[in-house]
Amino acid sequence: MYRCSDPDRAARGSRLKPRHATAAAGGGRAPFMEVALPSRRMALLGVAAVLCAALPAMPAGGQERAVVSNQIEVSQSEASLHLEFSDGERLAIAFSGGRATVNGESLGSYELGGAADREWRSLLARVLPLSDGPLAEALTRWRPGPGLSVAERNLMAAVGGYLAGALAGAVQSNAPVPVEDDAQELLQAMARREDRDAFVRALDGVDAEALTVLVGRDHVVRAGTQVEGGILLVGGELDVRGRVRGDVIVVDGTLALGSGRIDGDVRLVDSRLRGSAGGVAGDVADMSERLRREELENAARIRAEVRRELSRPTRSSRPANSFVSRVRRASRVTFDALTAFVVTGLFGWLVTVLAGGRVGVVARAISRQPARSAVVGLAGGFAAAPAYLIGIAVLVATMLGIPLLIAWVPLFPLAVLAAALVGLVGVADHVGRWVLRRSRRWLDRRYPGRPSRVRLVGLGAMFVPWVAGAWLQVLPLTGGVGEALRVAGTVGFILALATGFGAVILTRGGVRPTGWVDPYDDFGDDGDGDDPW
Amino acid sequence: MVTRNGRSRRAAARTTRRSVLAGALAAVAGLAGPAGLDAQRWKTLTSARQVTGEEDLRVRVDYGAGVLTVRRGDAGELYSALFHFDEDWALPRAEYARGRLEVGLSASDGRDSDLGDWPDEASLDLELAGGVPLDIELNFGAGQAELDLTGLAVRKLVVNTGASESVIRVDEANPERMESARINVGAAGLRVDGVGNMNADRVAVKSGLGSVTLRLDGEWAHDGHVVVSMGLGALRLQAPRSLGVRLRRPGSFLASIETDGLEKRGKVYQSANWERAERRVEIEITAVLGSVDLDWIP
Repeated sequence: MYRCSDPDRAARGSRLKPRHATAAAGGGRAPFMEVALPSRRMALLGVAAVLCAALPAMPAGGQERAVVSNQIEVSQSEASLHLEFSDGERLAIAFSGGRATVNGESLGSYELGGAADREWRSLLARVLPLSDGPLAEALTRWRPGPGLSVAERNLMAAVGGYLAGALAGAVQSNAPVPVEDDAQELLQAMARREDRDAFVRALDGVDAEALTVLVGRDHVVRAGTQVEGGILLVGGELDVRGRVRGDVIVVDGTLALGSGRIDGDVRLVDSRLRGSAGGVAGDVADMSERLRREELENAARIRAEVRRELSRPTRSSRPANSFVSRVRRASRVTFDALTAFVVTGLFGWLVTVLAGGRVGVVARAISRQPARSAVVGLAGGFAAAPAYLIGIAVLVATMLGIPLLIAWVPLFPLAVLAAALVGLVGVADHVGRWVLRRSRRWLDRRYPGRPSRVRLVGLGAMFVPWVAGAWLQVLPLTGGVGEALRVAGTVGFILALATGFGAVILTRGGVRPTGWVDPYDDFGDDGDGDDPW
Repeated sequence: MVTRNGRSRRAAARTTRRSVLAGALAAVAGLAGPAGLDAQRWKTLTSARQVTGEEDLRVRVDYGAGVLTVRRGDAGELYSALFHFDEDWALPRAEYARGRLEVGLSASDGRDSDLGDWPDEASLDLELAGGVPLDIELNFGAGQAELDLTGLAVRKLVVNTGASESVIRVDEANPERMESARINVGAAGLRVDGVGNMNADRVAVKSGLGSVTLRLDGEWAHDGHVVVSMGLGALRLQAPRSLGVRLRRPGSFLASIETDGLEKRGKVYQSANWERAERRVEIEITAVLGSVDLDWIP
């Protein structure tokens, strides 16, 4: 009978986990192993290891069971090893047709003639003439050689784990469960999925090196066994009845959790949990649902931001929500109105001084034909830009007109602007008179009646609705009235401009009076510009 | 006692086994060439079992064709079988249960059991425990068989061969008294060396067609009884001069018997030392057509 005299090997044999850790430290990830954990057996193994270590001179030691029968079968498509131990347990490791199995259960796939196949055949070749002790020793000391891929290394590390465990007496018919390294299948599964985000998110923070990948098949973590590292199962059912010392990720499958225990987190991607999650030490997260929820939250947040952005007014049109901002806005309107009043008033005073008679003719035309003046003014306003462009075109087309073009380009707009302002002054004349009629005493006392002053009053009165509307909007309850007043003032000012501009056109710039002369008209057409008052 | 020739033969057998193993190693290591290049799909199978308190072992070997070798194995090994065969043709069998071992290579399903079509390269190398009493039944079809029973404790031996060249060798005295040894040869050649070492009460050889050589050397632990029945062929007996030999011809038809060195006493022929020989062997010969020769060896 073969007995171990090597304390280290005895310890390896009695503690499968360090054996696996050794394999993992060899460059590959920790192999996925289920280790039988009958406490009594483990205790016995531990005692055996201690005894073997304490008595190195003893010929017998850590090998718990002798190999009473071995069978090696090798052909071009198959290479298998069958061991029978003294207690009747059997271990059958077969590499056949591209799939490695242990006691009939799949251990993983390999390439026929590949490095793993060659490695396995090489081991069998070495142990072929051996039996019992030398056979056990050769199998125990075997380590996968270099040149293996990660998957092959994992596969062979698992094989080595089984051999070591079996020779140490830790193998039971329901103990170590095959390892499957389905990296290739995983890539294909990921490539097939449309929502890879959940897939990828599920792997956040997971120790990928310790993760065992199972694709397209069911797997059971048996009661009384444990799995080192996490499990990623795609397209199958994972039935955890033992213990998983890591995270469990299930994609497109089912996680059955009865009396099992999971030390890490559980992440489900398009999968369902059957049973109670009480055995999960970490969090249980439905990554698909979480991702959908986050997507909905993101969409809602984006919509809210878009709405907020769309509803945010521009700087010019932003309503004065606060009192201070409303006061600031009213003040700004007042300042603008005063500026406009000063400019137009200065212009009106100059026009009155320089061509008071023509302004009087325009004012009378407005008085006599207000509607016609307004229509003509609107038409003239709309026609001004085309006329300007046509004039440029005509002058350009005619070689002789090019020198005139130099004057046309700046003077035409100025002429239109001057006409509009003259017309506005004419309208202001009427507005001033209207105001003065209602406040004659007060105005007479403070402003003796002169045309320039009347027109200043009229100009000022035309800006009053804007200023008043702005200040009414400062108050909380008169905001609507103020806004209406502001709109009315704008419309009135536009009408005033159009009417005045039309009157200027009708009177040819105040040169030709329109209609008959009312002898009782307050406006004496004396052409001297004197105030009739 | 191990003779010098015995040692050399065993060494040669070991060499043969090593060569078989080397071939097997090359095959298992994937060095035998890529699949598909060879029409035959060779397979190598080893099966071994340790002695775990067995009191005896009944061994049955059914072997179709090829090369069969049986010998003593390493200490502590109950049996060890090394098969090398074309898996398209043959199915191996190595089963042990409750003191019974069945080893063999039979025609695979769907294959004609006509041995003439079997690949000649198939082989079975069987090693048996030396210290365990053995009941051996060997059924061998065609090819070459070498049964080296040296060091084996054979309690019972039955050998049935078809068209083969078989050699049974016993270089050391059988520690177990053999109840009987029955050797049935169809159409082949048979040579048995060390009949005395068989420690058999009775050795029966039946040959249909072919030649049979019985070398009556070895350590005779007790007086022996050899029965030979031949159809058509030649029987050659080789006996040490120290051995008392008595030859009977209960029934012979057209068979010539050379009895040099034997004296005729009534219906029997016996050696001159029959009365004083330490060990005596009685030989009964029944032959239809053929010859019987007796040679004396030192």
